[in-house]
Amino acid sequence: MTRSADQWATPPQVPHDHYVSALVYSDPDIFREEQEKIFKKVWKLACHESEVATPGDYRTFTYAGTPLVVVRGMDNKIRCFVNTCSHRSALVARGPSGNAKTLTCFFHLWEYDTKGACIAMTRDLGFKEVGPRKEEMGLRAVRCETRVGMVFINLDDNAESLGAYLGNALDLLEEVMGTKELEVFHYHQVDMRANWKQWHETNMEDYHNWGHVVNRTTGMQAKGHFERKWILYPRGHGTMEPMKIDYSRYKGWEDRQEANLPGLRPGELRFADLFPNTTIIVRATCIRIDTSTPIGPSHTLLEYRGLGIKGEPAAERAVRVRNHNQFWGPFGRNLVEDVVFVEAVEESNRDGAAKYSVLSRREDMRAQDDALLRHFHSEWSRRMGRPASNPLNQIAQAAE
Amino acid sequence: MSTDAVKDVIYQSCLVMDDEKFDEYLALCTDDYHYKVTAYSPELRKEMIWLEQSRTDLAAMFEMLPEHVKPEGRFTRHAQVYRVIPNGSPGTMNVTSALTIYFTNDRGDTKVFAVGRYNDVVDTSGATPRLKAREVRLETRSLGTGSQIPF
Repeated sequence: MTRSADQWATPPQVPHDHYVSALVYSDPDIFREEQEKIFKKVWKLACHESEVATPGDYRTFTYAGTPLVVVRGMDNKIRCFVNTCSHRSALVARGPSGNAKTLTCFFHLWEYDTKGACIAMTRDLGFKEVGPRKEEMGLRAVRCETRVGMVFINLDDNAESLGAYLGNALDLLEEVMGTKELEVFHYHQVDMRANWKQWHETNMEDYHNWGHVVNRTTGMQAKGHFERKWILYPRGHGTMEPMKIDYSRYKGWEDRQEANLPGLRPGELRFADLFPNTTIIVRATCIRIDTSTPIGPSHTLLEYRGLGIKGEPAAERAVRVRNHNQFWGPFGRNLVEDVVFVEAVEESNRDGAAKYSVLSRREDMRAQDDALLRHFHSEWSRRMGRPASNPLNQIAQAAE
Repeated sequence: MSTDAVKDVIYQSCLVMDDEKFDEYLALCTDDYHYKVTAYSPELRKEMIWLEQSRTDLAAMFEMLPEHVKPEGRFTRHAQVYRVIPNGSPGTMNVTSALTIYFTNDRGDTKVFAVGRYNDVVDTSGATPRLKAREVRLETRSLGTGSQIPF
């Protein structure tokens, strides 16, 4: 039976936390509020420590509208600064990466050490009379901590520690990512026409795997696929019990019996979804880390990293690169599909054609339960001070 | 073998791939054909391999393509052969071509999808030239949705 316009606009007859309003994906005011209440408050994956492997190495990026630079100091400590000169606000480090013993602004050549202190102001005699003094003109430090090789930053000086924020959310990946030194071998970006939450929802939803022929023929054929249980952690993070997959069920692919990462059985899948927008997926031989930078309500920059073991034999690295690219490279079988899925959703959300997104699947916390989606939106609602089901308080909701 | 014959196999490979005639593409390749897509990452300051396939791998990939969800539209490859030189091994030539790939969606909008080069090795030992190896060297690294169909 079809529905009239009024019926279409009526919330689904399920509990309030089992659906979200499409406005959370499209409303520009909600997007701006997310910048302040979420992105400037929570820990965000910046890069992997292998991207700043040597003292003086730096990586630049922009997040929540703030240019940032992660630097491995000459003392070997990794730090993050706002990548803005204290003098006239030019970017200090230019380009996506580099190595320098000091960071020198190219505009007026002010110089900073790798701890962020201003160590030279060009022709400083001009500042003698009224100041400022260089001791007062260091870079703006940003909270920066590392966990299993992943470098996280937080724009909130008063934020809780990364350890408190993540809790046990990465426990399943501790041995995989923390036993041997890893390095990033793959990086690419996707300029996606969709809301950042839609992407992360796809990462958090096993149910969407029905759309992938690879998953229909491999993971969903594996014993125990549907019986795995979600594990939810405070602050909107989650993961699921591991499983083994025979990848050779997909034509032309091998079974991933060899070159498995530490602590994994052949073919084993593990992953973790971190609030608000980072996912780590381990498919036996290779690791993908994806994270996003929200640019606008309908515009998101996705970043993908593929990781292998540092210093491993070329033949093993080749296996990891191949297996990574099968799923996730720009020519991968699944990544293209995921972007197509999410951009198709965005077309309906953008101008209000869609009203609600239904997250009501319950399977006793098993794989295709929407539990993590609801958990995510519960955290989103808590931080935003708005229910995701009714963010602009436009509908009268009956008490549960 | 004439330079024009060598150029023709490059251009023919573009035409048959544009038309998604994958069997005809494979027919242009030697049995030991080696295909890869590479790019340099300024972020990592490293070379990257984004796809690496044997002829057998490609055949399997092409067979599965109809099962996949793909962006609605088609690719157009524009190659211009710049250089054809002997590569040092008897019966093979190195061919360098400028490459532009356009994507036209199903509404008819066309956008530049990627630019780069074909760095090809062409086997000229037989009656007709055949592709022995192809490196698609991409300058463009932000490929939007990406593509399950190789370039």
